[in-house]
Amino acid sequence: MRHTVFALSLTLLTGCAGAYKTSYVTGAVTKQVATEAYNPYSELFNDKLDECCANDACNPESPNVITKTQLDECMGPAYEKATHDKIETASKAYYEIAEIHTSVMKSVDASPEEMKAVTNELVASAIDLIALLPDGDKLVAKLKMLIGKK
Amino acid sequence: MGAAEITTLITSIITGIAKVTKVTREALAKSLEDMAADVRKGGLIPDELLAKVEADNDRLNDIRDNLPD
Repeated sequence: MRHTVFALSLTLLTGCAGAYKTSYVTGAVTKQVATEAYNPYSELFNDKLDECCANDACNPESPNVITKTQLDECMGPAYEKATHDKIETASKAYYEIAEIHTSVMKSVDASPEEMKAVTNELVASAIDLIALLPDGDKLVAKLKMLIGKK
Repeated sequence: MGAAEITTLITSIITGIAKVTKVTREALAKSLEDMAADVRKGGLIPDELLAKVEADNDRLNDIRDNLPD
């Protein structure tokens, strides 16, 4: 009887700690992958913008000025305004859920189910974001591999 | 072992677990703060990511808005 009670208690304790650890590690890895995915995109985005604006092409006073459409074409589908607007919208959604995730993980009262649910939401929103980046499929696969999600 | 002893044992174990769990969770929460600081140094905080996305978008809009249609 005593052994049974002890075993049950230990299982309960391990389960709670395990849920916390899993949610924390998954959250941290997700946040790291999301940021690391955006940083190179940002560099390429800015390089592309510099390239498209070379020769005073983005100066409205210049004879070399290009149109909005020409800029979009020069930026290409991965970096044009429409794509970047989607990235910004996804980033805001990701940021909001990441804030909630952090507060839940810091909360002493959060249940394992609550932690798991918010972690799943965080992963889903990070996937929505990084899928918009060039090679998004590979980045999503990398994230899933790191967090052990199928 | 009588029923009273078993009840006392179970109560003691549950109380002990609750205390250990609370201490563990508080310690983990504290370590989370430390790790958050490490993450911040590495620029991995989501608000920094959002700030970077917004800065890039602002730059694009500032340029694009001044171009002819």
